[in-house]
Amino acid sequence: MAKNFGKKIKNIGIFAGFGLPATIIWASVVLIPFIYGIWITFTDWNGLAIDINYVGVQNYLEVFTDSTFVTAFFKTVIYAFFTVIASNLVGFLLALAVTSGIKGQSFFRTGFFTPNIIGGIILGYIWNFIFSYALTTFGKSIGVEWMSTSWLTHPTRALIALIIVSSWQMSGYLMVIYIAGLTNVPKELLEAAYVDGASGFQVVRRVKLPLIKNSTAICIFLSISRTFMSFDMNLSLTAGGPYKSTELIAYKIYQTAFTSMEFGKGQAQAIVLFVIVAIISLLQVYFTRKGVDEQ
Amino acid sequence: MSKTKKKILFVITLVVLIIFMVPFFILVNNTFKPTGEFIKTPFALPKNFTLENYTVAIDRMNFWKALYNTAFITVLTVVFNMLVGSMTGYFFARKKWKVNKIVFGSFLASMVAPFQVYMIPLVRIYAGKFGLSNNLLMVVYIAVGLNLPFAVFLYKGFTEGIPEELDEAARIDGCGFTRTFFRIIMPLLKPIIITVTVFVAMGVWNDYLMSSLFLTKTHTKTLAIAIKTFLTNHSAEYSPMMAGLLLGILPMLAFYLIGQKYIIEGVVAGSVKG
Repeated sequence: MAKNFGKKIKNIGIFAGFGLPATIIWASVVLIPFIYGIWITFTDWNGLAIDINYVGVQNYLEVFTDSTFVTAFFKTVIYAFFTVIASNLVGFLLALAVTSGIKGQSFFRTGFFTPNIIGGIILGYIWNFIFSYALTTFGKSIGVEWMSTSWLTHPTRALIALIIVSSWQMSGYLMVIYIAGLTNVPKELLEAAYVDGASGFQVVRRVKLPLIKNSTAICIFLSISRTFMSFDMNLSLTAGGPYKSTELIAYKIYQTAFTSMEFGKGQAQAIVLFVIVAIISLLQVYFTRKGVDEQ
Repeated sequence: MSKTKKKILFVITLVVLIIFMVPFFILVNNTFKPTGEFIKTPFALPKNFTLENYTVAIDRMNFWKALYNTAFITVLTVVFNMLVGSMTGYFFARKKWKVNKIVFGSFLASMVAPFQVYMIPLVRIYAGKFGLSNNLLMVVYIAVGLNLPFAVFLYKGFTEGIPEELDEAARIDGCGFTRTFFRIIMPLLKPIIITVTVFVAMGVWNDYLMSSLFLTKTHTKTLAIAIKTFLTNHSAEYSPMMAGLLLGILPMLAFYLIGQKYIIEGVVAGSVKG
């Protein structure tokens, strides 16, 4: 009895020292703000008013009836679609090249990965200069009309610019994950395929691709959720412009909350983004687990 | 693959890499020109070579202060995250109590949510209710919290790969739970500490959104915020702006060139969450 009691005290001590700090920090930065955030969505709080009124589910209804948010959502889907395809394609091809036994593999890996060590704000501004000044000068000198004016002042071209820059950054990141998959493909299998007379393209399609299914799934889901959360580059490259034509969801939420000061509505939009990202993550867990079982 | 084929592929890959790097070449090249020259000939090498853009950028961005603030926040966040994360990871790996399973499960679940969900409430609570805007330690605290679930997840997983017999041997030698962790386990965590540290450090160093919500005064701004302010508030100083961007890249680039292997590993470790 006394021994049990002593052990209990000791366990409480261990919990206080090892478990409690993390739990407290996490609760105060993640859990409480999350619950508090859900409460905010049922109010009309604007950051200034002293009396806060409950408005029920009105903020959520407004999210779906607000045409600017719906537009931002569809723009995000278009942006995500093309960025995911382009960055996965380029990332996979780069990984193939870099694992093919050519010279300087680690040099190439380091080089292509470089954009990922720099923050999106800085990258966006660098490309802002490229699109606004460098490309226009180049366009004028060779007399090409669509390159003589800045892409960032044209709604469709600005979105394309965003897709190009995001793919440029992300392909190096995805490349590393594809490399991890490709280096795990057994060498004997590849040799056997070549001995049987398979062409390089056939080896990629019939041997490499089926064996790196897991890496592919990770890359695709990762790029989808990253594009849906894209904010920094949106801010520094296009700032949502021209005429708010390139506002993606994460940027739109920021605008609603901190420019229009509609906190309830902004938080409701954030919850919608949360649901989208959560579904993507759950699908990822489902598909990658299944992939593991098959192997 | 034949030798000729490999050579051709090498050349193609090299050309692609050079195209990839063009934005950086253009950036570096133009930081040494006066703005007028950049507008007229953005691709040519500098005719009127100047370093003045850098002095202007350093002055406008309050560069040294911003660099200090960024380093301060990053180092403290990394140290606290490592300490709390590894202790909790060890605790959850060794004591499979019901409470621990519930808390760990909640940690995991919260990793799904994007920062946008916490953004407004965090501002309301910490900047609004507690009035802690422009407090670097506040940003450290929030950064530690936001990165904890991921860190605990990795530390717990790694600790589970360390045989429990080690703990028992230490206990027989008279080590308690705490001593066992700091003397025996923590040194073995080195590889995972590097991974988590790199991931957290890169995220915090490059963070704009979260820190910009709390750090608004000139003397508290981090590099990313200082650059953003400089480029939004000053018009037509293009060459100094590009010098500012390059200054913002250099510290990270230096680290990258030293520890590229760890950095690539650490950054990509983010993809295993979920």
